[in-house]
Amino acid sequence: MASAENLDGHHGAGSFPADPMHQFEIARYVDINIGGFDLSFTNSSLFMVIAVTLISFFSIFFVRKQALIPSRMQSLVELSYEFVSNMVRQNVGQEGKKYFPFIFTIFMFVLFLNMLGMMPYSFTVTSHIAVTFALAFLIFLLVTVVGFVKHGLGFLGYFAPKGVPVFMLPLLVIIEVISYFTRPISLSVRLFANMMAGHTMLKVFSGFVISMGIAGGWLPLGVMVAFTGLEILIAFLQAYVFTILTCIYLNDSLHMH
Amino acid sequence: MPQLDFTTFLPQLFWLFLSLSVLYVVLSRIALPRISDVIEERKDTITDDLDEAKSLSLEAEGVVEDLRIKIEEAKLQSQKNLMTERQKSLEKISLKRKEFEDKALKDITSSENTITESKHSALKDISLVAEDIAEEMLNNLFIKKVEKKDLSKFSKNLN
Repeated sequence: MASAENLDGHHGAGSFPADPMHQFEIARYVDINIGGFDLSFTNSSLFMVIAVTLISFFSIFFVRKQALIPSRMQSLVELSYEFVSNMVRQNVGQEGKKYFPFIFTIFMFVLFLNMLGMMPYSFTVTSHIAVTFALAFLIFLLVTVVGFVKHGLGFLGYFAPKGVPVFMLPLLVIIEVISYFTRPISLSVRLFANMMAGHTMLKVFSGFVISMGIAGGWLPLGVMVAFTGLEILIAFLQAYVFTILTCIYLNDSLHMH
Repeated sequence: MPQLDFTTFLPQLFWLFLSLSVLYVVLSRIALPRISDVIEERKDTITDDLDEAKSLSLEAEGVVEDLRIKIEEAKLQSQKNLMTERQKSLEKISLKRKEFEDKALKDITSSENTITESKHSALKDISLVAEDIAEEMLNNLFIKKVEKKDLSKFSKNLN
């Protein structure tokens, strides 16, 4: 297995200077086994804990004075609050207020994980399909539960849009059902693929910088600098897209079509 | 591809739910209420300040309106005062004028009377002197003594 080789830092002859997939390896720091379940503390866990700590610190410490005229950092926290708050208000409406803490948590968590991944030698938690799919599936479950709690069995009417000719209905119901159940897949794969592709590409270009040496390495280095900027943008954009889709799904459940 | 190593799924998912739950509790119980409090408070303060500014500006407008009305009133008053004063002085002028005219008329009449009197007396004197002179002349010219009453009859006819 190539990855096992890379863990030790050895590279086979003719292989890439740095395996671009090596950065996605899960490294177990503390082995934890409870009741036969492997709950080890890994690099992934470490960055999740860092993200939670940073978000909590920012959102509590910088607002501790609750100043009427905010400091820069308080302003930043308020800005993110208003940003997500506006997103929820515009996409879900007044009823969405109840779910704002959840959506804010999702946004900040994904944003910080994406951004932390942009730091050299760090680990990108959101580049793992297991994490993004779990997040997306959690949202899918929540949204479905909200739909059934709000509309009862009437929520099933979501799959049969009103004002459609009867003979079209079977086809449309099938399409609606498929599109509904592929939501967690599209939501999770979008985030995972974006993060993984970006980081792989950065790693490939950084490999070029090393292998082309001081003579020809400048071009890939320049490309890498530009891509780093793009990746930071994507890190934000994907967090935004993930959150806004959550809002849209929630809106569908609350207000049907 | 490390992402498809199923042995890493369980620890990842466990720590994902743990950290997400902790973050949710921290944000929804502690951080977000405080942030929303600050934002609400600021919004309230701004609204209050705006309301106060609006009421103050209304007040200022009222004061300006009062001032305008007062100026208008003062203008009217001064115009009225001017009219009455003018009327008064016109009346005074016409009174004085009339007085003067009356006085002048009286003076003229009295002067005219004096003149007529003087004229009459002068005429009388002239006719007397003329009679005397004529008598003297005639007496010197003629032998016959001329009677004075004939001459006065004559001078009367001349007049």
